[in-house]
Amino acid sequence: MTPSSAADRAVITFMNVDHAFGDSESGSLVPVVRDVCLTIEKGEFVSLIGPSGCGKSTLLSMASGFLTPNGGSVRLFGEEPALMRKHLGMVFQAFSLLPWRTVLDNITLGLEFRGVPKAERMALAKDLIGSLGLRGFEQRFPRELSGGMNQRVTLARALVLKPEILLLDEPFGSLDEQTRILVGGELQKLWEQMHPTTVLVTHSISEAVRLSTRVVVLTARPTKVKKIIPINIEGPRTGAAAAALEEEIWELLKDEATRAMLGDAGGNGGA
Amino acid sequence: MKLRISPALIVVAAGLALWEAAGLWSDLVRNVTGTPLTVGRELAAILSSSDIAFHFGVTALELGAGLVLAIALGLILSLGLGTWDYTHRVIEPFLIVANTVPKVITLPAFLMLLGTGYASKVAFGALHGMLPIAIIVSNGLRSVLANSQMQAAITMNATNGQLIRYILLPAVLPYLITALRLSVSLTLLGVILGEMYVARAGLGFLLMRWYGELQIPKMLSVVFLIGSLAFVLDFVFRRIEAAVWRDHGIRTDNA
Amino acid sequence: MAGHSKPRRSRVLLVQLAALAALLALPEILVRGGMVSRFALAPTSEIAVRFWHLVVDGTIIEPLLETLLLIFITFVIVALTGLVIGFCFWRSDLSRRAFEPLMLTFYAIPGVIFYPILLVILGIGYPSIMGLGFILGVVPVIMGVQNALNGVNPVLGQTATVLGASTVAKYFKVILPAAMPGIGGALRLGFSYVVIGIISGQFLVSTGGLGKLVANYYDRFQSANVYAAAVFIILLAAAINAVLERLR
Repeated sequence: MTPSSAADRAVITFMNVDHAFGDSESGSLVPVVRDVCLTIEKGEFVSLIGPSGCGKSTLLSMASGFLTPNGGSVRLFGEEPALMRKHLGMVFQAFSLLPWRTVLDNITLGLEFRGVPKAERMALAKDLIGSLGLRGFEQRFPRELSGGMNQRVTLARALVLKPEILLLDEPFGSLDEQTRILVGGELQKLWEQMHPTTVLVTHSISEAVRLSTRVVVLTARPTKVKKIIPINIEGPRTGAAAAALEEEIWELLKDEATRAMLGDAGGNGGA
Repeated sequence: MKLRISPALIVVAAGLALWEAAGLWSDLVRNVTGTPLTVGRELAAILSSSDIAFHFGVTALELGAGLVLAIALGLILSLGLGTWDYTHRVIEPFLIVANTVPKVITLPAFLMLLGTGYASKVAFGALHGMLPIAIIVSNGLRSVLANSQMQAAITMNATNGQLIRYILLPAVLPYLITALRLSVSLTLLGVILGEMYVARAGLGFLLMRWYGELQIPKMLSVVFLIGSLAFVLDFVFRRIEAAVWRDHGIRTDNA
Repeated sequence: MAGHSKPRRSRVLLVQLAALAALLALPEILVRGGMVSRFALAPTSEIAVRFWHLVVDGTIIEPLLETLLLIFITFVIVALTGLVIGFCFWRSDLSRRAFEPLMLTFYAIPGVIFYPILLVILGIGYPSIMGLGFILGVVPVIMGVQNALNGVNPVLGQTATVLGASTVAKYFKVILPAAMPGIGGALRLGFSYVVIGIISGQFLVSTGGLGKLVANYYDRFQSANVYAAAVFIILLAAAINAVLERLR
């Protein structure tokens, strides 16, 4: 069996990506991302972690084709991200379910867009509903559910399309710690089954260590890749080895977080 | 034992009682305006005459036509206002001016250009009614176009037609209903104002005619009729509005 | 979505000026071209001339001053009454529950229909016009003041109490200032309604004022004057509102 080359395995590539946000009228440009180079390979689970205001979400917007970088390029399977949307699944932090549709209708929305007939839609949704603990809630509306349940629905909506690439932008940001860990665990189990190439943007070091195969630590604005840390722990990520990795990541982040806090006097958090 | 009567009803009842009592000591009330009972009698008399149906119908028709026109113009404006930042910045100052300026002074222009009949009232009413639609629906469009539901659907590769049908239209509906409620009461205002100034028919016309003929109890009956019409329309639309908002639950981004 | 550059202010202004120019050219073309009669519309040039005369000959001065005075006095009354009542409704749940449905109903009803009632009770003249302005203006102020006070974070008041503030100090130094933006908005809204009420009253039935001026010109079929006076009033109202916005 010939080993596939790194280039074949590359799914998402960031090449010398630069980006600045600015007001062309007032003339002030804020560089957010500078010279980011990152390759994410097939089947990986990569976490992007960095201080508030660094360009983590910006990088994800580029990967999903909503934003074109000022400099450098972002490619999905070698193509422009906006053209590759049918391979993509995305989960946002903000509430993005349709309030006037039931849980089931929300989950099957993407399938409806693809013209999948109703019976098949329902069948495809069934397993995910089970795995994510949503059985019995299919006919409820989002407003009747807690934040944690709503995020499970959002996950189901993205995963039912069996995406090859899964992008998650702080999906558990608005959840309490316990729900966060629970839903994160469910996500991990599903990932082990379906194996999409996953990029998770998060603030939480423990979450990054718990879920990913590699953790990318980013600097404060203008964001660069500071260090990439592979997570090579077998089995559950608790215990001394995991703690050591968390410590290492925290040391790297401490510096950047302070820099971000001091330098960010007027900027907005959470790019 | 606690009485579950709305305090507002008590206030209204007290007000009516006071008015009735005023008839005992005030010449003005006794001989000119009439007490609630007198007005009530006149109201009953009016309602049983065939005349009122005609005038009521005129006002209702002008209101209906004005509303249709207001919705059409309002939606066109809201599309321009709502979709592109550029057109929004161009049009918005004009709308603000239109909203804060006494539109009544344009009434003569409508009368001169469209005559003293129905057309001028319909157009004048539409002028009032199209503004809330333009402003509120465009705000709704702007918030919907930028929100997460839209982005999520785009990541799921929805076509533009799907985006409009599945996301945009349902999400804008609550804004539309609210705007409609305001539009109805504003169009009615325009129509009645037009009728009060120069007209040959309609409830506003009746109002001024009986004022001029010093038939004040009859005049007060018409005030009551117009008020009731406005109230009922508003009430109905508020109910629809509440239902639509409820069905839409969380409309805005809610982390 | 990020990444769009804002449209240049100069370009926006250019389009607006072009639209205005087109609007101004329209009457000129329509009347001189014989498409619309002189009884219905007047050429822009004629309207401009009449506008000029209105201002320069002083025809506008007396109605203008009278109207401004009425607006000012009515607004002061509306502001004081509205603030006090709004505050009382905010404090007393019972009074709010008693009067709020009435005020909400009032919003839906065209306020002008009460003008003839005022005319009967107060006669033709300043009191009835001011009454109309008052009725139209006071309700939005009361509702707006309530909303503004409701919007103040209760934590602020509690903090003030914990820091030892007396009730009066708490209200004047913490709660009212916090509610100021909302109260300012309510007063601005009330003001524009007062203007609308007074001019509408003058227009329908009155002895003087800017509204009456327009009505007179209409009665005499002086179309150019009608438009000139209307334009004057629109510019005046727009200018006043712009000034009020700046004061924000």
